[in-house]
Amino acid sequence: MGGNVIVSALVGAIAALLVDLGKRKIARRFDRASRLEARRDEDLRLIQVVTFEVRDLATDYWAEVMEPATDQKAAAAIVGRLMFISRLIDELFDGNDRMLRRLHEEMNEFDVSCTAGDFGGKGRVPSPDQCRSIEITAYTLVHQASSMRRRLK
Amino acid sequence: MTTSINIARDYSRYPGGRYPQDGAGNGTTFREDFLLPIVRRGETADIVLDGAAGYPSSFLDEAFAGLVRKYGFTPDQVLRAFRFVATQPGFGRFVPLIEAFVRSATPEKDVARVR
Repeated sequence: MGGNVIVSALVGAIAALLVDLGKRKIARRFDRASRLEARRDEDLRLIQVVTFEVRDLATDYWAEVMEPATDQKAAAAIVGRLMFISRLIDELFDGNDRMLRRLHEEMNEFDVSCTAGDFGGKGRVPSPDQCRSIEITAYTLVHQASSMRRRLK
Repeated sequence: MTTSINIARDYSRYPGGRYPQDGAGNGTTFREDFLLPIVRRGETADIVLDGAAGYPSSFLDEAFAGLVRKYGFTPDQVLRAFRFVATQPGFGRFVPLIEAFVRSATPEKDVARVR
């Protein structure tokens, strides 16, 4: 009789332990998944923020020709930020080759609209056409990145 | 013979601008000093893109597509001469961009095609 009680207690304790372990494992998995999702959301947020920063810088840059030092500083800020967006895109969509290829295309369109022509040149002239193109390609890039991020599994 | 040209190490960590008057790191000087000799000799080279602060389109276009526009090489000749190495995050997209610039270039009026 006393032996049965001990066995039952042991079985109960082991079962409780297993349930607890299972719960922890599931919680850890959910925790990992939600951390990954949070990181992806943060990457996407940065892509959006920095893309619009570049848009503002690049439209200012192509709206008028500034003093050489200011011009060079603006060009460097644009190139540096474009590189940063590129890195974020590569990291966010790492392993998803089709999505990455598509986003590289959009990123390159945006890059060309910002840094083609006489970008970085001493003899450049203002270009309203380039400003228009920058606005369009910036929004296309952000839209495409958001849409692809939703499809990430 | 395949040589390796690391743009950041051998030329400039800050490539930018088209013409020599645009400053150090411009596309014309890179084309004349590094790319043109390779294509003229019919050799090949690995172009390492990694390590630079970034590549403005104006630089890439002048350096690579300039070989078609200014010297009359065909896009195929140019693209066969170079193999692009871009392993760091953020650099991979420059390869299709360079290819697109080269493919869309045509020789300038007074430049004869190189056969």
